Amino acid sequence: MGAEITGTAGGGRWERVRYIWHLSRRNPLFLIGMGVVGLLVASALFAPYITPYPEDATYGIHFADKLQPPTWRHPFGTDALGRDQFTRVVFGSRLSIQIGLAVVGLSLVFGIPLGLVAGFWGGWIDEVIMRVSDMFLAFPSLLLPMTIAAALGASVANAMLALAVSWFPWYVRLIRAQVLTVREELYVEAALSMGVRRWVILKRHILPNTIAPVIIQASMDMGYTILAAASLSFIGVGAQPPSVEWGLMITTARAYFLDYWWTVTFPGLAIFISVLAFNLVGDGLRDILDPRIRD
Amino acid sequence: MARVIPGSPEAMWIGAKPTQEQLDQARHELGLDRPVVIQYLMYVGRLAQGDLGISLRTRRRVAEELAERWAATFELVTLSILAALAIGIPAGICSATRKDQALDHVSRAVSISGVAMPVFWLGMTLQILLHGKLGWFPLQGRIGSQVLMDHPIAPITGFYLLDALVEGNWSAWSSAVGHIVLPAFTLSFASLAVITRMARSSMLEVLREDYIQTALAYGVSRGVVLYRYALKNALTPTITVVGLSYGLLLGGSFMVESIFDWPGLGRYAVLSVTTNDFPAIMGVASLYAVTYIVINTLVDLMYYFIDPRIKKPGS
Repeated sequence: MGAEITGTAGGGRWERVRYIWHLSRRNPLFLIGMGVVGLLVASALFAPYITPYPEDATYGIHFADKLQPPTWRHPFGTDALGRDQFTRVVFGSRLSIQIGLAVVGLSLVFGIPLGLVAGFWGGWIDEVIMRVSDMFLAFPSLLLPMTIAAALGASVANAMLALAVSWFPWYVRLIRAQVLTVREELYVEAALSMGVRRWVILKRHILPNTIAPVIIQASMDMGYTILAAASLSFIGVGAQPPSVEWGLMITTARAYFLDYWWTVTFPGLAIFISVLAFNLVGDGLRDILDPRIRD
Repeated sequence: MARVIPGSPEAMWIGAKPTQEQLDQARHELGLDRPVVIQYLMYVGRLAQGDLGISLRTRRRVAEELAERWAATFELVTLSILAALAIGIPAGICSATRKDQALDHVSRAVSISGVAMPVFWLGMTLQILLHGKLGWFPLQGRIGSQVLMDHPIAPITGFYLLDALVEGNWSAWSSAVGHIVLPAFTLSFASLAVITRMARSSMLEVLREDYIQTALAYGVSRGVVLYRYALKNALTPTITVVGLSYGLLLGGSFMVESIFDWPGLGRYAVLSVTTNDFPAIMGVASLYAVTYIVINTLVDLMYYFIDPRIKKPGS
């Protein structure tokens, strides 16, 4: 089914870009999401240049200014060490984006090949791959990454690995399901009957037709992995003190947040808005890439 | 092909497995996927002896500790899922029948933000507002300690709300209710979002069906069509996300219980994890996984009973 649509949507590259622009213009939420994601990437890239006190992201300590409420000098207030929270929230985007990219990237690297193989070859390979992924998926959210991260030792790198390990089975499932539908298409049958080699079919015909839902899922998961990573840091098995991370900022403030609301409010908002933005982008991409389910 | 989430007795065993694999793997320096199979067999052998071991942190039997804490978590999670269903389904339905009106926009905004909201942040924000600023609710704990001392609750089921109610112990009951409101709301927020979203979209889908349109065209009153014909069909897909929501709830319980100092499994899990108490982590992780699988199995069964069209779940 998907093939007819993507197949006929051809046209020149320019035309396709214009078509996508046309669709996104009617979807303000998608544009807002894209805008926020752009802002996030920009703040990650240019953090040292756009923040008022870049040294506060590393070694800056100003006890005289500790726990100041938001003012013009410190728009998000200061933390218990007198560090400017605005600076730290902006710098926090760096780690979050890195974690999102690493986890989603690793999940794709493992998930795509495994899903393709399971779906296309079927048989016992399929059985093995799917049963193994089922095991990973048998856990309520966050339990597996939390356990793995704890077992590996608390650090950002281990949290990323732990998240990737618990995330990739979703891609295996998603891609396998796509492959199973695409495999039945006439053009695949035609290619098979013409004696085209299997992996060529896989690469040329199946992969391109399974990728749309993967892109949608990946953009949503950027947000969800940021959220999960922040949760791991909050629990204490993610980022550790010298690093600047939103979840870590919140957990550090737990001892005194009731009297100093800004110490948790702004880092939390940063997480919330980022996750929301990636979510909106994913939703928007679904509308654009998969016109069948637009309502 | 069983399209459903693993739901057989074997799957329960399987459920407990990856944790041990991961731990073992960790000792062998994380090799992501394959060698798992061999370790699996070893693990099943060990698990068959049915010993969860002794906590390194408290030096007590893990099984005993879990048994003590189980009721607190179950009470919290159950109340949360009930709240999520009680608010989410009507909200989704209203949202669908008043599509693109103000109420719809509000409920969609809530349902989009629900899954993006860091649960620990929501909890702390509520603590700042409703405890710190307004003083409406207690900060944390399961019941006021003074209240519990003056009006002890007899341990009948372990669920404070139920036990206090059975006894007619009103001061303890009201204290317990006051204490559970914030954590339960915090915990239910993400599931509320998922359930609202699903209820809305499946109701919209059902309303487009021919038989609904026909009934409307024949002049059957809108209320009857909505609540007698459409609702039941819209509920089926909504029930299936309850399983997923349960996963969210169990995952959220780690953070919510830590924030609200709730003496349950979630806080126990976090404490064990942060102190590298492996036997305890293993035990609590297995319990969570098994609970998750049991709930999903029950949900699948429920689906089977609600929707007579699914006569053969493998076809």
